[in-house]
Amino acid sequence: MPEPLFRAGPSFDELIVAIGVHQDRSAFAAVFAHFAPRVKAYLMRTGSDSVTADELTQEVMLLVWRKAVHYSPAQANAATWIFTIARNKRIDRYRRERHQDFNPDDPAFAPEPEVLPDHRLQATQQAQAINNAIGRLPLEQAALLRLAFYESKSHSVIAAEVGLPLGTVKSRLRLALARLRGYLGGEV
Amino acid sequence: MSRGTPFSLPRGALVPACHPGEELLLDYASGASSGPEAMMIATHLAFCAVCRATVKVAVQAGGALLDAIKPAHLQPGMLDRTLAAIDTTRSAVLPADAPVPPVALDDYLALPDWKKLPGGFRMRRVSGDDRTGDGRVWLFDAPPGMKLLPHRHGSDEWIVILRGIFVDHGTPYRPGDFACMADGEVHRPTIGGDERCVSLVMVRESPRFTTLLGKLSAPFVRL
Repeated sequence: MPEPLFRAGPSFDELIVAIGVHQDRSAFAAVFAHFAPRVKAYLMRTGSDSVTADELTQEVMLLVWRKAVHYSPAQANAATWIFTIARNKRIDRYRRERHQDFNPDDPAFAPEPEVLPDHRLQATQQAQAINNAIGRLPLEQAALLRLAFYESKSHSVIAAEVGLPLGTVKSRLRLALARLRGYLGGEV
Repeated sequence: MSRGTPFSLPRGALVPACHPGEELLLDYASGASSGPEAMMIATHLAFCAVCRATVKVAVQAGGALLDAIKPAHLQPGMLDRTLAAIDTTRSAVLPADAPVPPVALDDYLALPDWKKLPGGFRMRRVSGDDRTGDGRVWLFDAPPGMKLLPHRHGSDEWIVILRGIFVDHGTPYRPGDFACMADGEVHRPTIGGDERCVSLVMVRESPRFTTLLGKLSAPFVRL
């Protein structure tokens, strides 16, 4: 079913807040309808079979419900937040050692030296800006970025699989990240 | 609380001068790093707001790509089953993520079971599994002025300095600095400054010493 270009009503960020604050089941159903099929697609591309992907998707969506009370739209938009939950679920499932995740706002960390560019934008604007930025990347950089995230392969594995020199893969990924940061920091 | 680094940090630390390559930050953001690699990156990130910002952008890209992925077909009835699971889950709300409070470095240094080597050097395994080949993480604690034996790595070696100054090929590395020694490179690091140098080191295989003395001591410093 095609989705409308502009969705009226609350954003997914607001829906997740509603799940956290009111245990809102219709908000959960809306988030589920959009994200569960995408989470399953992500899990299948990173190596799960369809049955396992269904099972893990249900676990991810259950975590969305259970963690929603801690969700802060100022820290991450809905897609970014759900991506990290799905990524960590995949790592927990396939690796003995869990991902060393970190909270960027941890007060124990060394302080930010300056106002960093991506702090100037609100999360929802950032989501739009990052979409635009990915769309503006040169094709060969965007392709490597998709491989990195959709198949969760390290840059060295990607280099071996696509048959490019390691240095080429590194420099394309570095350029891609530098451009994304540049677009986010620029006048959006 | 940080889950990223096993050690809490001194306040007011300087911004590190040496950073992991952005491709390593991307591996971390996409979840492609091994556990030991992720521990090294997370430890640098705890010191480095600049690399944290880069990881944040990379994770946002991951979110945008998840949003743009071609959706898969779910098994019928999954939403109802998930809602039913919500009803049967005893504790519906999870506590915020705080599973591994970092150990203060001094507490870690005070632990009894360090492997001691001549010259006041000692080391302790922090993480890693021999069976996976993903790398092992050690904490090194070396006295000032110490010259480590020349050695060659059969694979890359990563270091994050936690305290003191470590000098390699004439470059001083200070707390928070991340260094990656390339596969096959021979190096003979020294400890600069006048305090002990504590560093987190990830190796994938034991180094090969290039001098007779080193070769004789190899059995004692197998990493």
